[in-house]
Amino acid sequence: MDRSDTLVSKAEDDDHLSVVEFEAAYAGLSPGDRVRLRRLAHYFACRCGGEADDLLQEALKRILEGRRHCPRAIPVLQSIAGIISSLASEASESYKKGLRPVAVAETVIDRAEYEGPSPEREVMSQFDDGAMLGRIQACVDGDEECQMLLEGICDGMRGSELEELLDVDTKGLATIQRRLQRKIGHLKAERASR
Amino acid sequence: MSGKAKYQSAELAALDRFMVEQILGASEDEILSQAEPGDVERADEAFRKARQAAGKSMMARAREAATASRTAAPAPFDAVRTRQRLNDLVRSQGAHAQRLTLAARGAKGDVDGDDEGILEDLNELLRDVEGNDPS
Repeated sequence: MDRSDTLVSKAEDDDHLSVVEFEAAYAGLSPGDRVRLRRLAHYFACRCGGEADDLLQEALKRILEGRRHCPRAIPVLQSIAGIISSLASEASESYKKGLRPVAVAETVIDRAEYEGPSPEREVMSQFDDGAMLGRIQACVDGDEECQMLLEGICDGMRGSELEELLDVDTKGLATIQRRLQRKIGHLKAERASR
Repeated sequence: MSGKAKYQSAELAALDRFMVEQILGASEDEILSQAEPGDVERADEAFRKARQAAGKSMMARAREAATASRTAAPAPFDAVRTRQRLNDLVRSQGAHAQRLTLAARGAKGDVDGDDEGILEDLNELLRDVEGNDPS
């Protein structure tokens, strides 16, 4: 029995949706849910320099092949989101390992001689994480509230901490969060620059 | 990974969580207001293509497995040992032995005609069983 067969068998247990059940679950998604899938794929595609449709298709294919599973205990959309995120991370790791061409980020020349426990890793990170953060920060240029919210989120703040940081109530925070999500959501994949 | 790189990874991970929460937590009206033309159709197209691709890859795996099975080296055939195992098997069935041997012959005729075929099949079965049995 090869690895994929093992995975298929595992998916047929009581804790995970079978492929047939997953197909039924997808068929039951609302139009808004389908939009959510494309928005998620779009966001994570920017992270790995690919196309949103390709990323979504690959995530769905892995589930339909039985190579990835949707636990019954969590909503199917959340499972797909996790798989999309995971695939984007895998692709990003491939870039960092030099498996695909990468461009030099603006700050990398200064950091190329950094002396740390793993300097190559850090330099490579500048190509991806640093560059991506730079692009996201550029999205909120001129919007002070979104800039502060972005900093707070990146620092690990949540809920009331963010309300305190921005000096707003729950409703006000939700409004700024929606604005930030829309701004980041407009990021386009830059395949040519990766 | 150095401190700086770790920090940047953690920052992006926090941002990923925020984006996923926002997208999944938005109301139906809110998310539909963010939809771009063709979003729903393109998601369904991705699903349709994914199903096709999954079907093709599973078919290819099945074909590979069938080819591997056909090209597998034939089991060494020890006629004496296999016959002994067959006799042991029949004896172990007690009163059912007669029905067992009749069933093995498709409920007809004498065993002599397909004696060799039965032994070869049994040899294959024993190889599979013994292959999975560490003892």
